[in-house]
Amino acid sequence: MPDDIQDPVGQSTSLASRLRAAREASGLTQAQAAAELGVSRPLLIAVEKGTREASPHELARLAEIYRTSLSELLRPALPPVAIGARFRAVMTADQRDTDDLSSAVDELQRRADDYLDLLRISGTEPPGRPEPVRSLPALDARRAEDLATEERNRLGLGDGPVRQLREVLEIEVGLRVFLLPLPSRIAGLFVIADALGGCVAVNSRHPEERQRWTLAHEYAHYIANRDRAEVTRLSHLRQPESEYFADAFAANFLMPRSGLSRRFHELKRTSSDRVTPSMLVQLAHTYGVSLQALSGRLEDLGLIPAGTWERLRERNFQSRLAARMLGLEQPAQASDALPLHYRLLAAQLYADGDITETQFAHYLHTDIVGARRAYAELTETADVASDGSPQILDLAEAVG
Amino acid sequence: MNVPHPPLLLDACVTINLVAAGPIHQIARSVGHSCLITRQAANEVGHLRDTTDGETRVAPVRLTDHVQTGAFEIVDLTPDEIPLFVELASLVDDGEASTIAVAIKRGIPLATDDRKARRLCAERGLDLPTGTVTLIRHYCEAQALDHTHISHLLQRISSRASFQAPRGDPDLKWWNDHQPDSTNRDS
Repeated sequence: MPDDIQDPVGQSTSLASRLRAAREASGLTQAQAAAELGVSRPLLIAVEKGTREASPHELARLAEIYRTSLSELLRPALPPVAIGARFRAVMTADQRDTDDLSSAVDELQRRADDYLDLLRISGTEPPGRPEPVRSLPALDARRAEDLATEERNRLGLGDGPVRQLREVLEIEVGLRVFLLPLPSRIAGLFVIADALGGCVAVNSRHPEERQRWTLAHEYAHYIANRDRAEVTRLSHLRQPESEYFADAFAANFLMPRSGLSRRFHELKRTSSDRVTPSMLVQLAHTYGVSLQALSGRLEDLGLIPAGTWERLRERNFQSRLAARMLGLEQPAQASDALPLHYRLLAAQLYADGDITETQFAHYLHTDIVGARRAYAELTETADVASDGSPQILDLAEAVG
Repeated sequence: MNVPHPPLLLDACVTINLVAAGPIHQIARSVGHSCLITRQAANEVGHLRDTTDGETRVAPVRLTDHVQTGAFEIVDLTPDEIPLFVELASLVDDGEASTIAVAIKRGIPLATDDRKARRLCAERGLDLPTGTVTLIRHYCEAQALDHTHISHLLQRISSRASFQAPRGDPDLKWWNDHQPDSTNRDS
């Protein structure tokens, strides 16, 4: 059985595993934790192995020592420790950012654990129709384009811009997307958690356009080579073949050849057959990508001369300023750190009285008042009441 | 002469509502209780949100200040309460688990608006807990506050703690009747 499967296990097995994970997360050695608890190291080791049951007093004290909640330690399923293990295999290849990355991976693992706990309480499955991994003879640009076209067709996206990229990937594809503050040179993380499916962490500190590119990039890993954890680094150094493939897929998925060419020619025609910087800014805005990504794509398609982006950069062209001057709104920053389904599931469980308000706050990683505000936002509909005030959907009533 | 009432245990959610209301010391005194909160629940109280000129900022809650005024007492679990606390913590969060464990072991009434916590109290044979709205109503009636003052008080709870009276609250009608846009002028 995979070690992150959430099937019910013996209480002692899950508790032992969670105690060990909590100690490791707190940074304490077994000897230090044993000393804090006032027991011998062999006794603590036995507790972490599940061969000795911890007393209630010991459990309450260990929760304090590890600075975690007792209710989290007592979750009746194993924590998804395989997430960390899979990343550790990747991180050994690059020691430079291991420490920064370790805390980000721990955070992703905690989010996945919370998601699995919500699914356990609700007795439901996560959304999406997981597709089997594609077996590709080679990871090259042509196959990246073919795969992107296939996926667009499968998802019924046509050849236009995908504005609701995150929603499509979460609900239709079944990726679990978390926004996390990652180290600045890390764009994203991808890993498979057996009971949850593909999990993606996108750097919340990066601009919206870059986040969309990262999402499409990680999506490529999910469909083409999901067996190993992936760390997407921003680097000018030579990257593995799978990274070039994922970038080519992202370019084709976000900016399909046919649709982009058509829009480009339409805009060119209305600009006296000239290609202007403002036209490129407008196209980048339409596709929700950076000017650099758009220029690179148009250069690859032979629609603008090679080196266009470099020339714009040398002239210190300010794409954000140009967009503002053209009256183009900045893309709404997808600031929700947690998947939409996750948030709605937590809100429904709270509305049904299956979790407490403080548990709801914990799952949303906020405090009680923050949770109340989030609940109001999640349950506010696009409609207005007869007096013009926002319409609130009563989740308890809606399912009652 | 005031007859001393038994202490009342507050969970974190009721506590932050009472702190948001403002005169926490007076509220506690007017309902005739000394208010207790477990250390675990105190750790879960979090922050209020204060809005000035359309800008919302996080306002820390310093429970220790209220402890010094005598409005609250923070209690630690006794060794004989720990096993029940651990048992309940597998069902609810640590704050509710400790509050219910103390209520059961010490026979103290408690205040919570939380649906799951209230259901657990019923399953464990505790008396029906009181809630935020009932406590505030008792305070307003004891102080003979008029509609305008009550509305301001409720508005502070709604805006600073984002609290809305639960459906099914026995004093829901009173709460609704005293909202700022209500035409009811009874106090």
